Amino acid sequence: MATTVTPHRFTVRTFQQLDDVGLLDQDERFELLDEAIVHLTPPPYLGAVNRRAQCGATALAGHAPGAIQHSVDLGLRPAVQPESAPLAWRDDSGSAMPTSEDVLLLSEIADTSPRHACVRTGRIDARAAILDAWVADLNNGQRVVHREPTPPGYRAVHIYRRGETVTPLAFPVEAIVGPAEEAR
Amino acid sequence: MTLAPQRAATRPRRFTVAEYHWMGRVGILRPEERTELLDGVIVEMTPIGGAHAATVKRANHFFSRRVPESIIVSVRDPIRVDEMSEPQPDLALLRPRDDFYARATPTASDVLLLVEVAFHSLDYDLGPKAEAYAKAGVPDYWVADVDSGRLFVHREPTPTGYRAVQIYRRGETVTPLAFPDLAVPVEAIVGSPSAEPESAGS
Repeated sequence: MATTVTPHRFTVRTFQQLDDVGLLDQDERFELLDEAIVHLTPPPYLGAVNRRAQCGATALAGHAPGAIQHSVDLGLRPAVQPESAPLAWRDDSGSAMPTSEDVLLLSEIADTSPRHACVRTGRIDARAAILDAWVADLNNGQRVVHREPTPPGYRAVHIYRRGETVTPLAFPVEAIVGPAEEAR
Repeated sequence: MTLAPQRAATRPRRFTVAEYHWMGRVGILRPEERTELLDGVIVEMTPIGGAHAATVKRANHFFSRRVPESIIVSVRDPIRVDEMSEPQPDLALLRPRDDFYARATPTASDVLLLVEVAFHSLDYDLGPKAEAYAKAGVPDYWVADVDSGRLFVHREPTPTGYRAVQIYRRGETVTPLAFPDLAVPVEAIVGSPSAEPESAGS
């Protein structure tokens, strides 16, 4: 007989309550994913995140206030912390958690389980209607670009290989696949 | 224990008993939500169906009349197993205490015998739950499997699990470690076949 044990479901509100009292402010970082509070996949690829942040900051300078590992409230599957999410400018920037409408480009890094990250990105981000979602696959040195979100998933998924360039939908800059996909 | 597949690659944030209680006080866990904490994971308890409830009642009825008067029978009340677990086992026989544990939640060392009724939850009761109880040193842990009429008796707890698990069937008797003079017929816990209701939903 199949057994299903249901872990308690957390909401954005309870996640923030826990964060407010410091329960999520420890040595590790956490995100709310699929109504569970989980550890952010930790640092084998920290170098890649930092390098990407650097490249990103330079490339996108003047185009968007970048948010690196900042919580994004995606509505239905909320408070995902993508590795990097350049946000649309808002006057009250900082007073509220960014939502999917503020996200111009959402990018994540997958090291050990690129398939997991793609499935997750494909499902969650499409339902939240993120227009441009990238997953850097460190294992294979490629970048998976998800576009045209529909409720069940992205209609357009393209894989770019090392050396190719991708242009974010929201910025007129060319991003070269490679540097961000290096694991170290 | 099965979890949604997309969660397979993630590691949940584990909470301590103190953090879990705090969540109850500030309303993050609402009173109407029935939860238990097992190895740092907050788990929602499934609503109890008729067959499950009847099994707990039957076991309660049996033990209450046979163990010494001073023994405290705890039914679906919290046991603070250790820092990371506070489950609400279906039935526990506890060491006597004048205040009936008003001032402190019972811990693993207060438990003489612990019984869980598995109704659609056998994998969980034999898996993560057994691990948590063994780690905490619960000496005698029984799982009554309503579906098959079997009783799984776990003994010799070690930090990694119980060393001895024995399966008893109807017609056999089990003697609790703490009460060597008491022979418990398996039927006294799991019931006789005729008493089993069709398939009362859980």
